[in-house]
Amino acid sequence: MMKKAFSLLELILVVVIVGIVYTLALSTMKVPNKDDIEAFTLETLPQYLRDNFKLLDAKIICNEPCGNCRVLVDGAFLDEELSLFQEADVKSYELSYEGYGTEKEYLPYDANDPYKQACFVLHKWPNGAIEEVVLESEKGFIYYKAGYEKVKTYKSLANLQDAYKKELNAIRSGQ
Amino acid sequence: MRRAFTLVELMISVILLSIIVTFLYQSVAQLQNSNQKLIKSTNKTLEREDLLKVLYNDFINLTSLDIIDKSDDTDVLVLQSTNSFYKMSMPYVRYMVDNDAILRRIESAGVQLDYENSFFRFDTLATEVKTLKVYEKDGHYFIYVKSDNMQDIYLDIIPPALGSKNEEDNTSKGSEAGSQKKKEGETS
Repeated sequence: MMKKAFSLLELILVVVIVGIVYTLALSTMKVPNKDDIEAFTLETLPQYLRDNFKLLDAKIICNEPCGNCRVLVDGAFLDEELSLFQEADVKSYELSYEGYGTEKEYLPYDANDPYKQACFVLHKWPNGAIEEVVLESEKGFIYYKAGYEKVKTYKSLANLQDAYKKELNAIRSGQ
Repeated sequence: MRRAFTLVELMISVILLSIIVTFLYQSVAQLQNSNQKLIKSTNKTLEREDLLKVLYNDFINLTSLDIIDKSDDTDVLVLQSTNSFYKMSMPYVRYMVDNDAILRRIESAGVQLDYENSFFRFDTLATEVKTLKVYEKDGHYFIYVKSDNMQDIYLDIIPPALGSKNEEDNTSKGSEAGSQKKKEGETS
């Protein structure tokens, strides 16, 4: 009597199906990858400055075109360059006390080329405070607050202003 | 004729595979779970450290302090300090906890803070704050913060600028009051 054997094709088919089921099962669980854990993103810039230059005066300076940025620590540039932006088109804004955003203009930072305008500067003082600035990038409007609050990203400047004014009014009307 | 796998052999192999995958799945899920817990608790600790830094910087550079609303669990502190978040010289700083239990630090330049009319900047320091108390004795400032989100904060600070004032009043305490001290502990 001849036993009917599985052909190679049938075996491969079964293995593929098992593989697909396994992949589906694993993909439902989000396994944290390396990017999630030690991400160096625009949101973590203040944390980067605070962690690495604790009691120092540190600045991230991005001169035009805003592809690469450099770190200035107590008056001396670090060697390494940070590439923060995908597109060169970034703008900085500052908020008034009443929460109106206006475009921020920086003094030139590059001694070799004084006509090179900075398009984004993030300044951390020795006491850990950040100079407040709103950065417009491809991700949206990122609001760097002075204190240790988490960095928030807004879709538009109007959204950011509304959120600021709402909190301002809550404090004013107070208690 | 070549010997083929039988159905029974195949079934056994698939069952073995599924058992292994189940165990793998379990251990990965467990890892994931504990990872998330760790991230949460680390964030809490970091938030607490940040609040400590702000409090310490403000109080070690303190030049004057008013404590109001003492009857409540949450004081309102109006202080003047040389520590500024906003490039102000000698800003007036107000610590207050609002109705939503959010502790804010409000900073304004020059004039005594009147937050209905004057200009100020604000930062959120902590949420779910149940108690904010400051006591003063012999040049020491005891700060107690209790929040649902973090371990309690207990700080004992002698501001050097105020310490020298004490020296004039009380010479015996003078040498002690000039030194800076930071103590931190937990209260249950």
